[in-house]
Amino acid sequence: MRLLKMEQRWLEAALAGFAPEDGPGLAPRPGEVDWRASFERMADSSNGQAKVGMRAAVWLAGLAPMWLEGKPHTLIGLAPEERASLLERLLAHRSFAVRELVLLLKLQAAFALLGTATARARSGYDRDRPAPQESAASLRQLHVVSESSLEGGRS
Amino acid sequence: MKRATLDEADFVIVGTGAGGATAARVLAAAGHSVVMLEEGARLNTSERPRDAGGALAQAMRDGGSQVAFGSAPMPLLQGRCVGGSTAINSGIIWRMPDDVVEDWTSRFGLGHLVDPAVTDPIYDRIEEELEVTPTGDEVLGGNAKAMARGAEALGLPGAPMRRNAGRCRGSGECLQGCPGERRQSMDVSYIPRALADGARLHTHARVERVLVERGRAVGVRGRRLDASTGRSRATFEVRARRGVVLAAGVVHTPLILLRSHVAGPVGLHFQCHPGAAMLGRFDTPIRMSFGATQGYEVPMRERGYKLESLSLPPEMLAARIPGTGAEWQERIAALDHYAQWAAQSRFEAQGRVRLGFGGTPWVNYEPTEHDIAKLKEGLVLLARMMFEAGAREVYPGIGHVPEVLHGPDDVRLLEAAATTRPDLHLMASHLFGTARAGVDASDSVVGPNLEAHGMRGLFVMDASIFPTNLGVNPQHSIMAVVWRAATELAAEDAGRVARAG
Repeated sequence: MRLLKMEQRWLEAALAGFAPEDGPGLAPRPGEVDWRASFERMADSSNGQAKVGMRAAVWLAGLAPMWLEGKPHTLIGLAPEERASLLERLLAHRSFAVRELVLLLKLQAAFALLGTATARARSGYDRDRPAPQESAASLRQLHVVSESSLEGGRS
Repeated sequence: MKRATLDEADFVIVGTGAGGATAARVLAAAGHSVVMLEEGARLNTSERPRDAGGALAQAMRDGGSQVAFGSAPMPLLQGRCVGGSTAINSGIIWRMPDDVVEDWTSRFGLGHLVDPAVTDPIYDRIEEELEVTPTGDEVLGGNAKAMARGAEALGLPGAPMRRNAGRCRGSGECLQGCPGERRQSMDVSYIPRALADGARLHTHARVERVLVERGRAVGVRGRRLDASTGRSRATFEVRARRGVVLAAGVVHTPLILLRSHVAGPVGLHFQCHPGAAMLGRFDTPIRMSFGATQGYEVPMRERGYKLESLSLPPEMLAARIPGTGAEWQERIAALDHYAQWAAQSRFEAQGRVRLGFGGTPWVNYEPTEHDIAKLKEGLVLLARMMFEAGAREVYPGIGHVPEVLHGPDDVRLLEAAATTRPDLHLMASHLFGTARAGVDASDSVVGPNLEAHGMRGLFVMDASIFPTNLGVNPQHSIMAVVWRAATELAAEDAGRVARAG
């Protein structure tokens, strides 16, 4: 899914709004997380209905200062802490559709942040996970007669 | 567009999940030639991504974005890869409950299919072949152990889950593909076995319709997909000398039937086990990253729901933790202090699968008020269990309920809330019933031998044929029912060939 430049900026403002750089706790370091790449990867594997929802979520969050607070600017015009506060309000909105679409953005933010190897390593989440004992060579390689790269068969 | 006859065999099997792989395993072992067609990719374990985003994109249908529509959309999680949903699930094994056997026998005339005198030895054999054992204490992990503490404190009937992962090391990565191939999903068990018996497997092959000649199924037609882009390329046909077995899952099997003009209530009676999860924050570390992805359960069958421990990848866990900005960042800095458990319920609602725009599926499903009340009861119980197990805070994740419960007294706020469907974040991975079996051809799609009433040589062998949901994890029941039907099909066909000879 290709986003317009304006949509890209709203998206990055929204996702970074959930986890501002240099914040407390598990915060991304400057430039560490590629918010847009993570979003696009998820969008590319989603069906058409989900793509519509994802784009709607970007517009909803991007324009939220206008429609929710009557301010004359988009999400980009807010300071990081104001973005976080606005997103919190959206997550608690009375409309189910608003809550769900903004939760979808939060999911994207979490996937982008913890899908970044360095941020995930800082989280310490995997420290108790047992290392696989098997070598890659010992794992099964299924034999497939044809994948799409093969023309196969008889015409 | 170029159309090639890709292959030909006695039996063509569409789909490689629990149903299709079991059919292939039985028919190939009986000496029949078998071709398996899979829309998704072959995922060799060593090549599967370990992050949640990559795992969803690679192994789930629509990257996990497939939903049922109602007053609120509900994700329907299904695998789309060699092994189907068995390659992404937690390997939980339950035999079909007795009350379901009785119901299917009395209401749908399926006693022959689910007769325990026949199916019990099949269950035994599958359990032996797939290394089914109760989850050992050494790999339960903190998440499941906390749940056990909560259940014991409330006197609930909890137990370690039985799973097809007898050599589990507690990697907690069932979704991403067991890193040591210890979970015996179909891609590492029955499919290799069928291949060893001479079956052939084609991936990236999306079947769209059944080929019919003189009222008999003689093959399938579909489109080959580009492995990197997923876009369709040339069409193909695969010919079946003896029969076509559809096992494309509860959403896609009916679409193939509809395109093929098969008679009966195709797409109707869609059922599932919707579930919702709840998080608890503990002072002592839970360390969800170690332990079986799902290891402990509390079956509340009489109440219509089951409670399960559910360890998720950290990306999914973090998204469920309340807050934004600094508040969220501080909470997710302690990811190893959270436990997550889920309530999964046997809903009474029935929905429908139909062909949508461009031939894509469109699923309608709306839970009843009774369904929501039943699941809510399970969620209230989960909150109580969490505090009994020592949680400092519980995050119910339910609309119109405080996002943080600070103690057992707060559970009353959850209990008193007037919860409606849009207040719950439901998802379902156990789907049933869109091509149901029965003796009455006017009210079912296939008969007790799983052959379509309206088309000779066409068989449906997945959970589509289940006339009701089960209230327990369905993989084992699917495999046993398919084993039973495929064994009879193999014997019947061998007899037919002998008679013809």
